[in-house]
This record gives sequence, structure tokens and C-alpha cells, in this order.
Amino acid sequence: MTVALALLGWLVGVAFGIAAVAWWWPRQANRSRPWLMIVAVGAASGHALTSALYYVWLNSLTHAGLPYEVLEWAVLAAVSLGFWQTHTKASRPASTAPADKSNDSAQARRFTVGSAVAVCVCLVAVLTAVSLIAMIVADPHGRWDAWAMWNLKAKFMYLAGPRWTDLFIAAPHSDYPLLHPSAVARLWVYVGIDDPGGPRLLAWLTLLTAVGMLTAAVTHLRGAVLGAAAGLLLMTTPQVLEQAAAQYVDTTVGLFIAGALALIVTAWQSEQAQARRGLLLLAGLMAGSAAWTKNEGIAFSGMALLALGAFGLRTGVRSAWRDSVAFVLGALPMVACLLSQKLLFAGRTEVIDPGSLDRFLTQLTDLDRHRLIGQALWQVVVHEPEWVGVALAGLLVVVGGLRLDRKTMRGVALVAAVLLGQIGCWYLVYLTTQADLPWLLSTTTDRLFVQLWPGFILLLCLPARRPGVTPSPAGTAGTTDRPS
Amino acid sequence: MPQPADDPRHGPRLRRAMWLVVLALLLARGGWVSSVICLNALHAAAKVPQEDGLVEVMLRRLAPAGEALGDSQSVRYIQRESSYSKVTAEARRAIAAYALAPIRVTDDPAEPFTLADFADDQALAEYLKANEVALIAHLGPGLGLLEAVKR
Repeated sequence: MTVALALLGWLVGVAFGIAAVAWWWPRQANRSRPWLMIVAVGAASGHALTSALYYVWLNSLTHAGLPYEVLEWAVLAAVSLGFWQTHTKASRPASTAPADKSNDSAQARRFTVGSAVAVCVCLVAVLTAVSLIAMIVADPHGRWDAWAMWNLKAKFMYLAGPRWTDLFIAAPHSDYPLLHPSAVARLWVYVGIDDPGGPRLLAWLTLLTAVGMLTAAVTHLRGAVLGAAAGLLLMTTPQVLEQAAAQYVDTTVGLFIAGALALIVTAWQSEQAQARRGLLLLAGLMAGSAAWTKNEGIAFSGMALLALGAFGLRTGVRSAWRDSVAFVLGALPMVACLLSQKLLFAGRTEVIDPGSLDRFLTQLTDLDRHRLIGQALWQVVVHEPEWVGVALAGLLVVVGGLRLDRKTMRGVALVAAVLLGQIGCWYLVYLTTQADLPWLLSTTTDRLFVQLWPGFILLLCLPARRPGVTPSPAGTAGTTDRPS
Repeated sequence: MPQPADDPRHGPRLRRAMWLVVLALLLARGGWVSSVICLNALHAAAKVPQEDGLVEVMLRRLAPAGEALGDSQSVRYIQRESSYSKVTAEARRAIAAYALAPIRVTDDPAEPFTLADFADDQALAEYLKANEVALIAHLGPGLGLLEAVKR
């Protein structure tokens, strides 16, 4: 019963997110709407937006005596109404011309291959779901950070009423953003008790959403087979499953990072400025959600904004400025929550406090620290990814044909720059922190991997041409033989 | 850069065959890896004894057995809110609800609130007698929330 009620709470959030994203997603003439992508982005957005809504309610509306469920259902109804009105007014997309007979056999073949891929991926998904349940059974309250910090904070947010802010004194790391505790507390509102089933279910569903997001994004950008391969690669990375079962939030950060990057690349494929900015606004929402999840997400948001501005300069300063503004506007709701938490409640961030200037400069030039960090990061590269799977996916991309047109390469460069920039930020933090470096490295590098891994899989798939694409005469992008 | 489809030596049919082989290998590898992960996870889950209650599970698995476990920082919340002598029954229930984390392991009886985890109630009683602490919440066999006796 507990799980069913928690699932209901999660589904309400997801419905809210899907309605909002479907309402907002730009309509383009002669193009069907990418519903898989809309559902994935909607699920992630719903998770983040309802968490922010709970935080706002806790801050301002608990005193007014308004039950949280009433507020949430009212917002959901308003968004659904908006979506319904827009949807019914919008003209149906023009029907695509029937495929010619020469494409029929190709379609049939693709159907067979597609069916086989779908069966395999579903099988792996079932095994992954069973694995995660078994891992959660083995470690029912997650690992240290889950019960000593995330879920403890959620307890304050659910149980302590107006005194919930005492969590900033009672629980460790008061500077950590509150997306996850807020989301857990929100599920407990639906359950009616602070049952550990809530965070367990959320861990399970977050991994599902992350896999869904990556699969949907790659499917939208590079076709269903590669999308399935990307999802498969994520599901078969043991570290990702372990972190999810530990009820840590790095899977959530990875979900939002991959979502933001995929939306930026999708936006750049659009010819219409308005549609592009609509998608960049959603990308901003994803980046803001990453920032509202963990401090690393703040670095990511800054990096993504910088990259967006820098790479956008090719199209002119004014266009780059407007794109950046759209991105910032999307991030604004989450950034507002984050700022209120940081300014009103949070303590200092211990890990990135460099101390005195002398110490900072000494550590910056300390070769032993560079060596330690380099070794730790190398260990991650060697041990964390499922390298055989990565090699096969890379081979699949190369054999399927590369797509090296200017737009694609710009997307690849942006994603690579942001991910490398994120690693650079971590490197700088490791170098200058006052915390015990070996301890910090041993406890955080695997999380860095989980945060960035979905983005790297996206990067791996981006240079691919869609399977079955006919190369264009110029040998560049080619044209797809089916609508996107 | 020449692309496979544009290279006359590699026709689309060959490329397609290679692509299918790589895809099959990728799927097979994915199935194999997820099966191994699943079997390992099921094996690990079968080994873990089923226990109820967060405090018990956590204390017994993360802290050395037979020790008094230091106060959780969450307990300090209650202590700050109400003065020491005014801890009400509600506050004590709240302590039990919030006392999730053995933040650090200590056997210092000067700590105002202490979580203790012993093998059984007898060991817990002996500790209470020896350290001038009172049991304010009995969370399970050998497991209790303790308060220093004020003089």
C-alpha cells in the first residue's frame, strides 16, 4: 500500500511535468511531435518542479494552512487545462506522404531488427529492475549519505512542520540543495507516513527516468536502435545501479545533465529561432534542476551557459544573447529556490573553501596533489565504465556511418566542452580543498562518474548517422527516410 | 573524411551486415552483463538477514557491536529546542523519530544523548549501571537512546 501511494504521488508529479512540457514544446510545421522525448523531459521536469513546489509550500504556505496536496492538484489542473486548450487549438501536422515501394523492404527489415532490439532491451530492463530491487533489499536504507543526510533532511521537511529549517543545524552538509529531500518528503505526504519505501521507490524510478531520458534523447537525435543501445549501455553499468540502490542523488544529477545537453543539441537542430529558444528554455530547466539537486549541478549550469554563449557567437552576438536569456529563464524557478536556500539557511560549503591565499597557492602548485588526483581520475577511467560495451557501441556508431556536418560537430563540441569543463571544476576543487584529499577522492570520484556517464554516452552517440540514412550528395548530413 | 557508405569498396550491404553483427554483439554483451549483475544482486540480497527498523539495521551493520554509539546530531535539535530538563514525552518520541544517524562512535557518557547498541538487554543494563546514564527510549533488544544522569 505504501509503495502504491508513493507511486501515485510520483505519477501525479510526472503527469504535471508531461503536461507542462507538452504545452511548452515548440510545434514545427510538417513535423510530428517527439512524444518519447516529451514524456522523458516531462517526467524529469515533473520530478524537479514538484520538489520545488513542495519547498515553496513549506516556506510560505504551511502557515496559511493550505494542504500540500490541494496546492499540487490545483497547479496540475491549471497546467492540464492550458495544455488541453493549446492542443485542441493547434492544427494537426500535415500528413506525411506515403513511403514509396522501394522503402517498403527497408522498413520491414528495420522492423525486424527493431523488434529484436526492443525485445533484448526490454529483457535487460527487466533484469536491471530485478537487480535494483535486490540491491535495495540488501541495503534497505541505502548507504551512509542516504540515511544520514538525504532522508534525514526529508524527515525534517515532512515531520517538523514550521520548524523544518532545523535540518540545517541537525543534518550534515547544510549547503547541499534540497531537490531530493523535498521530493522524498512530498512522496511521504501522499503515503501519510515517513515510510522508507518512499525513498526506495524514488531511487528505482529515478534510474528508470535516467535510462528513459537517455534512450529518448538518442532516439530523437540519432534513431531508435542507437537510442536503445545508449539505454542498454547505461543500464549495464554496475556503478550506476549501485549508486541508485544506495539512494544517492548522483543518478538524478546525471539525468538532468544528460537532459540539458540533449535539449541544447536538439534546439540547435531547429531552424526556427522561436522553437530553438523554447527548447533552450527547457534545457535551462534541466540545468537548474541539476543545480537544485547538488552543488555539482551549479557548476554544470554555469558551464552549460558559458558554452551556450561561446558556441552561439557563431550565429551573432544578439542571437547568442537571446539563446542564453532563454536558457537562464528556464533555470530561473530552480535557481530561485536554490538562492533562497543558500542565502537564508545554508552554511558554508566545506569542500570548496580554499582557506587562506597562501594555502590556496601552495596547494595549487603541489605536485603530489596533482599526482593523487590524476591517479584517482585514471582509476575511474579504467575501472568504472563497462568498456567492452562502450567499444561495441562506438563501433556501432562508426560502422553505421558518421555524421560530420557543421551542426553535428558543434553539438559534439559543446557536449564535450561542458563535460570536460565539469571534470576541470572537480579537479580544481580537489586541488584547493582543505578537506582530507585521499578521503575526498575515495568517496567522490565514483559519484563524479555516475553524474557524467549519461552525458558521455550521449556524446558517444552524437556523431552517428541514423541507421538507414541515405547520404546526401555532399556527403554531409544525409536525409532520413522517415520523419523524426 | 570519406564515409563508409560513400566508399565504393564498402557497399551499403556489407556495411549493413557489419552493423548487424556489432549490434548483435552489443545486445549479447548487454544481456550477459545485466544477467551477471542480477545474479550477484540476488545472491547478496539472499545473504542479508531481514531486519526491521532503520536504527537497528543501521547501527548493527555500520557500527561495531557491543559499543555505545554517540549522539546523533539530529538529537541536538531537540536539545536546542527544549531545555534539558523539559524534554517532554512528545520530544522523546521526536528523538526516536529523528535519531537515525550514529554520526560518530563514542563511549563518552558526558554526551547528553547517546544511542547504544548491545547484543542484548542485559549488556545494555550493565552499561547503564556503569555509566550513570538513563534509558529514555528502548528501540529494540540491546538498543536504546540514553540520557546522561544530571547531578
